[in-house]
Amino acid sequence: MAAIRTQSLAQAKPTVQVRAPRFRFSWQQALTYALLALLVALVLVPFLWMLVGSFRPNYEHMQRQGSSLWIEHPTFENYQRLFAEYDFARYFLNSTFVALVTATFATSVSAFAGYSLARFRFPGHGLVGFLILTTQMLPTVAIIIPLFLWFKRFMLIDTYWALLIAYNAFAIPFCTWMLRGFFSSIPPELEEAAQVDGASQLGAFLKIVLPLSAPGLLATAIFSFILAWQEFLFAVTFTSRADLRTLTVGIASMRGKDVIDWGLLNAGVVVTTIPLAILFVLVQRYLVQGLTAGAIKG
Amino acid sequence: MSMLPSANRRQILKGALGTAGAVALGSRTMTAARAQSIKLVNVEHDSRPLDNAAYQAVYEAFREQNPDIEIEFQIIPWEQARAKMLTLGQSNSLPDMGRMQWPSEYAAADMVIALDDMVDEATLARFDPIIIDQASAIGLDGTKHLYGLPWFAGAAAILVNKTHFDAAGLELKDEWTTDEFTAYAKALTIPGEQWGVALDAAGVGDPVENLLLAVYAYGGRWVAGDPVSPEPESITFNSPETIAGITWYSSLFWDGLAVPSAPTDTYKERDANFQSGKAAMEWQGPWSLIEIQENFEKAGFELASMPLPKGPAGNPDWYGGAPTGIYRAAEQRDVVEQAFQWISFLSSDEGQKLYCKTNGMIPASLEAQKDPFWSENNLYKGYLTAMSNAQVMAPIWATGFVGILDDIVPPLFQGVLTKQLTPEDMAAQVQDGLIAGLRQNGVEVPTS
Amino acid sequence: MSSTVSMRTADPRPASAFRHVRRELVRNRLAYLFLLPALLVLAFVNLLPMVQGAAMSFQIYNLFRPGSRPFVGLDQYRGLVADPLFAKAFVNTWYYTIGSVVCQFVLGLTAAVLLNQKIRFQGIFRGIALIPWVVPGALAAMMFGLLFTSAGLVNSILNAIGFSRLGLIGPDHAWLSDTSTAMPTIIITNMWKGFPFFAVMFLAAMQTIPSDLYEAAKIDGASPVRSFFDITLPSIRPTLLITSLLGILWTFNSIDLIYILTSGGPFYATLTLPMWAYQQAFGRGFVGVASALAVIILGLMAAVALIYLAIYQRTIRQD
Repeated sequence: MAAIRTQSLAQAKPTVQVRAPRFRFSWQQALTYALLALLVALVLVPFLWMLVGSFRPNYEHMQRQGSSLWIEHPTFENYQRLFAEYDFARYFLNSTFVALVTATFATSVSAFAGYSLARFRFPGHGLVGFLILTTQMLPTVAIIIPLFLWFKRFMLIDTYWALLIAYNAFAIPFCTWMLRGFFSSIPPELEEAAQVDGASQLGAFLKIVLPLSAPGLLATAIFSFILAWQEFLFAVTFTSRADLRTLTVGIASMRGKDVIDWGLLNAGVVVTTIPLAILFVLVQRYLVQGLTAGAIKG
Repeated sequence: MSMLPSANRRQILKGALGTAGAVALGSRTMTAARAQSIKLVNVEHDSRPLDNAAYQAVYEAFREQNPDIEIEFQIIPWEQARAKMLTLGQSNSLPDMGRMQWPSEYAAADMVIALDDMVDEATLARFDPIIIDQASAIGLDGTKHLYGLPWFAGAAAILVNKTHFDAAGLELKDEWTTDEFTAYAKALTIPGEQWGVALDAAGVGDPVENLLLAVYAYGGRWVAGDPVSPEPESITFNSPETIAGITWYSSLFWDGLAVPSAPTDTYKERDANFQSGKAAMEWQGPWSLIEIQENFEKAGFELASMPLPKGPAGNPDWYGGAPTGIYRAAEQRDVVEQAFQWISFLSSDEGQKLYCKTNGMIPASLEAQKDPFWSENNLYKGYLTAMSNAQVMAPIWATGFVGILDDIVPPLFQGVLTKQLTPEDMAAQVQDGLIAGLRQNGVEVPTS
Repeated sequence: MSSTVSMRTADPRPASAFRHVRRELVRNRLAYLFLLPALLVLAFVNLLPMVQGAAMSFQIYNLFRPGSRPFVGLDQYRGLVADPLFAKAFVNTWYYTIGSVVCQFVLGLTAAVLLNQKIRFQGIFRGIALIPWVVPGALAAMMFGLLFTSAGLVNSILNAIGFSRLGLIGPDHAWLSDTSTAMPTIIITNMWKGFPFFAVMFLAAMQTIPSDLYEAAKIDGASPVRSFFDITLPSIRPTLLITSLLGILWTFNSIDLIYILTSGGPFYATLTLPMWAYQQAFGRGFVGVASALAVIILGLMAAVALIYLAIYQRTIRQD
């Protein structure tokens, strides 16, 4: 019953839009599609360029410098080199692993913290809220050296742990904030009813609130996944070993001191972004749904 | 034990379990070294396309002679190299050995081991003394030490698109002046189609040094005396000669003879412009000659090289390349001996030839340079000649000199190129910034 | 953030502090227990290093001179504020931040309105519009750097449509090498990279607006543009505020685009405070100076956040 209620809450909304009659040409519709086409072009053109560039031999990169789409001698050489000279499959695995663990852990920890902030009134509530916001204001350069020294002390340098801890620390504040909004949007009566039936507050949270919050949790997990996937400065500072390299660090090393390996760089960008872009097209529905119910409460 | 990075510690523990007896003798003894394979970490922070293959070639030969030493090759992206090495240095997490881009900073931060006692005269005699001076720095004890062994070298020269030269009716020369250079650049410029010269004026490393070559050609100097002397002297950069040099170099860009990307060439457009024939000359080091030559062949152009043009004070050149050295970590792990074996192999004639033939670099050893691979090739010959004009430019006592210049020169020079700053102001600000920076690094710079 | 602040003021002051604290801890044990893991991570990975960083700002901490770290009080702050580059970097930081956030906001809002329409392939359009979000900043910078080279795509297009004939820029204008176009180029890159976050937040907020509001407006004869300004915008105002605040905080501190595209050049035209802090710490090794800059940045951010939260409170109360 409860599940149906909230689901309908999230799903009923998308049908809200102004409906234009099908049979009549509408200027509004035409304008919408025209602008959408522009938007898609804006988003995809840089990609298209990288994609084309990734099939270009280096010689053509030097010749054309990306000023045209034409490839005279298309080649797979860049991709071959990517996986032969740079253990790119490994980088991909590393990035995926780190991002997945961050998404899972940060979401779990933030679920508890977010729930606490959404449901309980306790002394220090405001302070915690502000602390969470403060973490979003820190310039990385200010903490990277102290953090490095701590990680060193605990022998975490050159391990996945250093990255996981750092990424979680940066994902958790924002995730907590998002989930707090989400939990606030769930009517407390549901838990109260469960508690009347004898469930503890913890039980009510685990059995009722969490299942209802699946879209919000998923949206949060996607957020933290992206955050970890993109990170560069921590990754390059806290790890040196080749087998711990993430994609962003791998690609950065294709820009040398005197020479940039253009073809390789283009191929690297394509391999890094395309799978995630496809994934995103598939999961965007849950992201919007999850945010719809949550972010509004701020 | 607690000071060791976790991976190393595990390594040692593993070794200890397997060969407890041998470890008791100390890992420095040969018995121990033979009983357990020692793993070393070598660091590099440039990534030219063929570098991995080049290291691999040397490593294979090295392994045949030293089967008990394993090496892991780490590459730190160039743009983060300095930041990362310094951070690692703060906590004894450095690699064991490898490229030593900034010996003076590293020595001041106590990150590297002096090699004086390990290297003999015969080894040093194989190199031009200048490159040995460049691998030396002032240690914490205030005296000069050798911190690295050179393995590849370079100098700046002018790469030339001979096809464009022929079209413009220009001839290659063994000697030319800065005025002739400007005249050539003008003759080779076709507005909207082709530029005379590809310059890379901003950015860390070579770009700064290329500008300084122009300054040196006009007689500008950092110090009045010998830069190799360990005694601090007053800085004499802010001089009419310096200003003349900056003005000449900048006018190539102001007059539209240089590629438009010159001020912040993050994308190395100068390479693309030169290799695609859109720029007729390129002022640069011998860092990717194999690729350039290939691309020129495909485009149907002929590649040649010329020395730097002579200014009123000649055409002094910088001695590029990098030494390889041993970091403190090797001492803590007690593997200095093994690390030294590797760096001396890499910088031996055999190692240098293996490395440089694979990726097209020029070896640092004078003997190795005599190999026909370099001495018979016209392109390399131009650079070998240029190297004979090399001078030490950075005063050796000036701790962190290169780092300060990399930080202050590019933005100021960008100001000159974009006409927001005069060459006079630039010379004055570089001088002041350098003195202030050196003082902050704890160097007493005498006032003139 | 709204409820947090109001609740704190509602808290009665304790008569006997210790007993009160104990009682509160027991009474709210579940609340604190739930917060504990998150707070532990924050304390050790964010706050502790932050406090240590702040402490370094009072010391001369030079990476090239380990061992000696003399205490110098506020000297490094004074030195920074007296440096003419400080004013330059301060202005640039706001230019970059406000320019980026305004562009992201406008494009994000436009995209959200478009994607909220009843359209075919809505899911695919939404997915595509969000793609730049997953592209790492460093990669986005490299992609755009390539587009904006003197022989790059942007110039090709401008030349093809005859823009260069206007004489504003040359046909082979190097966007990142000109002091007046470098920052706009970085802002455009940031707009591309950052607008999806705005779009998705706005889109989500728009979906909570009850449809009867629009239907009633339609009956009253309001045009779509009119209902956008009268219904849509006021309804999602809290989201507009919070999203732009987050946008400002994140943009202010981000250096990945600037670092890769110009490193602060040409002639300091794109040097921002965080970029300067990075150069001080890792270019020159002056960790103390960089820390002082970081503290200044943190202060600026806190001020922005407080102003925003005050506006936000008022918005919430008005609703």
